Amino acid sequence: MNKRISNISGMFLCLFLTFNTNAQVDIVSDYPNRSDIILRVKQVDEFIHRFNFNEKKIDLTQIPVTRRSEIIPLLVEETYNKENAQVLQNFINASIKSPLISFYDDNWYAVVKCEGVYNRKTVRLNLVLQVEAFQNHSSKWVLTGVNAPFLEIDAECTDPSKLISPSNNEVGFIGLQRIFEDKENITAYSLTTYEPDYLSILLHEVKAGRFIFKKSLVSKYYFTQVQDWVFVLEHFNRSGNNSGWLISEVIPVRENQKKQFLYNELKVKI
Amino acid sequence: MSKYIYSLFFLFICFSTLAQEEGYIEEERVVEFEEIALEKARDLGTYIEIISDKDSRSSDVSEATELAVGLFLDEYQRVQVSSLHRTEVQSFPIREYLDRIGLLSYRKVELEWFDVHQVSDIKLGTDGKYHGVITVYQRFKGYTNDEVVYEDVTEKNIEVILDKISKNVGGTIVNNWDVFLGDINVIETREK
Repeated sequence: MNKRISNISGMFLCLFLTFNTNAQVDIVSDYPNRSDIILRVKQVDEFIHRFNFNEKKIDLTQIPVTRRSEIIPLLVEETYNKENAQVLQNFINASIKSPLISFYDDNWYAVVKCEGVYNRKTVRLNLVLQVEAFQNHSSKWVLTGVNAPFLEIDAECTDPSKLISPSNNEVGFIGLQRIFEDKENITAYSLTTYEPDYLSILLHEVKAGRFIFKKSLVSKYYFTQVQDWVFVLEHFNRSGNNSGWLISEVIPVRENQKKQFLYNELKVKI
Repeated sequence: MSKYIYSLFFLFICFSTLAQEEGYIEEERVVEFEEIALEKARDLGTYIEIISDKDSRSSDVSEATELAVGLFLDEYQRVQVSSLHRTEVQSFPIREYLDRIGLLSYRKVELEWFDVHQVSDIKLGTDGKYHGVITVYQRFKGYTNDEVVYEDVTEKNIEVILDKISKNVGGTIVNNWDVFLGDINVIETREK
């Protein structure tokens, strides 16, 4: 416990004393892992610039020659193997042919694992956000979806006897009273292709005071800009030069299937 | 304390000429933004030093806490800390964070800035403010007596906000700019 307190306290204090000009703060350049820190992808903005091959380099001796050679180190090294080689080549080729990606694009998504309390129980959820940009070049992150198992409503009911009869309109839909008492099967009375909008459910529960947000834990990003591909960006906090924000997964997805992919994977409705 | 007032006045003047084409910020202004943001952070460090010094009078600690909170956009800004060995992420509103710092006790600390840092693109928010992030690295050593009891290297992502402040000067409304600190994310990258 003492060590734990000591660790926490060290991190607390060091954050701010770092910036204190009156403290004995030295700016050093001879630390052993300097090149690793330069190569580490420290910010998502930095990732985007490297992916686009338009980053202003800190160390001019480490400028890559081609966009291909810039993209390769952005892949997490664990993805390199013989089975994946051709897939990665195809992804890189498609990336180079596709338009450059931008922070202001409306087709990339942040997925933030969060913790909250729902009906007095601790729950986990994945909030999905995207950038909303405006004509005056201003922008903001906005909530666009949520994957929250505690909000799941079973949208399938195979019992054909669960229906609003085709003639019920003639009696003024009196049967609706019976339908809404059938809580277990309530979704069976919706369109066959109905897909719940979980963000709306969450926002309602927040307004009703049944869900309380506690904290964000980790985040990752889904980029869908590359033609026929989706790739996932995650943070790898580790030593070595293959660290920071790296592509952890490349997924072939046809353009006309991306909408369904986003709903299945992220519960985002676009 | 007057030196801080002069410092704030200087920052105020620096940004009074920062007329921007809407949405974009000039390259040389980005450098200025970065320097002033770091200056603000250093001011915060000064206040923290007062807060964490066991010889400080309680009135000085209170004043330093208020001044430190004033460096942030508002009291709702948070500091989040994650470690290599804990899956638990800790997050505190700035005032609570400062109060906790006041409870810590190292006899002395040694700090090194690494010469590498990264500035994000500066983006205009829909609130009319410009937003960016500075990533810095630092090695920290905490001593009790003559013994190092804690040492680590941390990566810190500091959100910085450039805000327009309207001021009435002789009956004319003049728009000036100032830099505030926002949320801060501390990531431990190496521990001894």
